[in-house]
Amino acid sequence: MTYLFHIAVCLALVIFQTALKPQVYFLTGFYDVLTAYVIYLGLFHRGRDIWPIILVFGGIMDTISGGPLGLFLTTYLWLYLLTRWTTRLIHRDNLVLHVFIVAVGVIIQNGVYIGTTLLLGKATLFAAPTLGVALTQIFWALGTGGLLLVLFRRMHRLWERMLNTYFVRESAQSG
Amino acid sequence: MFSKKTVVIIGAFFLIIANILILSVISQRYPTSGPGGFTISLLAPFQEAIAGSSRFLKGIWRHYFNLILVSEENDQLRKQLARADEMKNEWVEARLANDRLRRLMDLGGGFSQALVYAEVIGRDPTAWFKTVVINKGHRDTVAVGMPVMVPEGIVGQVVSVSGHYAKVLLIVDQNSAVDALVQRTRARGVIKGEFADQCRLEFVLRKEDVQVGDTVVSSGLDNVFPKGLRIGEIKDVTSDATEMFYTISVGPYVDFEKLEEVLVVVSPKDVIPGDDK
Repeated sequence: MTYLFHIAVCLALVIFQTALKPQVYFLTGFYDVLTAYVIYLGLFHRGRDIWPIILVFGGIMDTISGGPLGLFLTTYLWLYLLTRWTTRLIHRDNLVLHVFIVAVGVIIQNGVYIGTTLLLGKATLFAAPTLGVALTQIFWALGTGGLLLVLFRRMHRLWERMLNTYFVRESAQSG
Repeated sequence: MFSKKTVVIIGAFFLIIANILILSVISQRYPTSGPGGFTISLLAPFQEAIAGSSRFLKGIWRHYFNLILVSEENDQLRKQLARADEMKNEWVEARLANDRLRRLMDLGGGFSQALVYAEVIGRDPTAWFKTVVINKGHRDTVAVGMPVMVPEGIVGQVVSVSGHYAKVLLIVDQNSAVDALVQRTRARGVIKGEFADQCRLEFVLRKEDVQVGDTVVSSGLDNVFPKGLRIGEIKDVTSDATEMFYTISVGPYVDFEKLEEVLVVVSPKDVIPGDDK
């Protein structure tokens, strides 16, 4: 059931990013929302069962994006690992961590993209528009990253509560 | 001589007669002055004030109800206006879609190849890569490698296909390359995607005549895009004495931010009519 929840959220976020976001002019510089979700998973879901979800997320994004195959998968895996490692140093409920960790994640993600593109021999990446896009994404992440983490956490708690209620009712009826 | 009772009756009779006579005389006149006039003058201002106040309060009451009615009517009219605006917007959208489709059909009419009309339904999830998803796939005869265009020029190339959908790599993506010609001088080069929806024309030798404002078209030599399709206009030409090639910046004719409908060229190996050079 938890898998179902994560996959549903992933699909909803991908649809938001590919169909809705391009229609809203002020959101065109928004960062990859799945980055925030991967960071949320790294902060609050540490079980081994999360790895397949990360693989699915990366696979979906690699399929629909025009980037080199495996780029999103690599990025998400590293982000998840780094987030888990961060929680060893800083408490996962730290408010400052929530505010900055998504922005740091976006910086890492953009770094991976730019690095990969440079490796592929695209020499014009450090032009002004590239920097502008990266900075816009970082500012968006600073402004909304923490809120998204809270939103994801509440959504998941709500889902678990609904499931518990449903199963308690089912077991009561069968009992 | 008369009893006391008779005197009282006679007195009462005369009093009644006298009273009737007085009343009949007084009621034939309308005094405008004197004590009556004074009384009226005294009372009238108060009456006027009270009547005025009453009228004022009645007016407020009536207007209050009128305002309520007007407010309700206003709400209804606003709803009607909103519906009318919505309908107008739908009409404008339909008209614009009609214009776009007409232009696509006009473009298709000049082609000998089969064209498949498709709508853009999704875009790349990140700002770093430039792809779109269209609502036609291999069930609609769309295949990997097919060129995609609009009346303004080349859009890109199909890079991935499923049953009913396909992913198109735009020419402004950094992974895109189109063999191209400068239309005026036939100087040959390769159009490559750059960031911010721009392109650059590479491998144009410095001996060639290339100027700002020249149109760049597809050469057809890449066996992907038909020859003569418009790509963009040269925006900047830089020549470095140490380099063998020009550095040329090209602004595409297609506005990729506003891309809604496209045509997929199903059999691309052909020459565009009119490009007879």
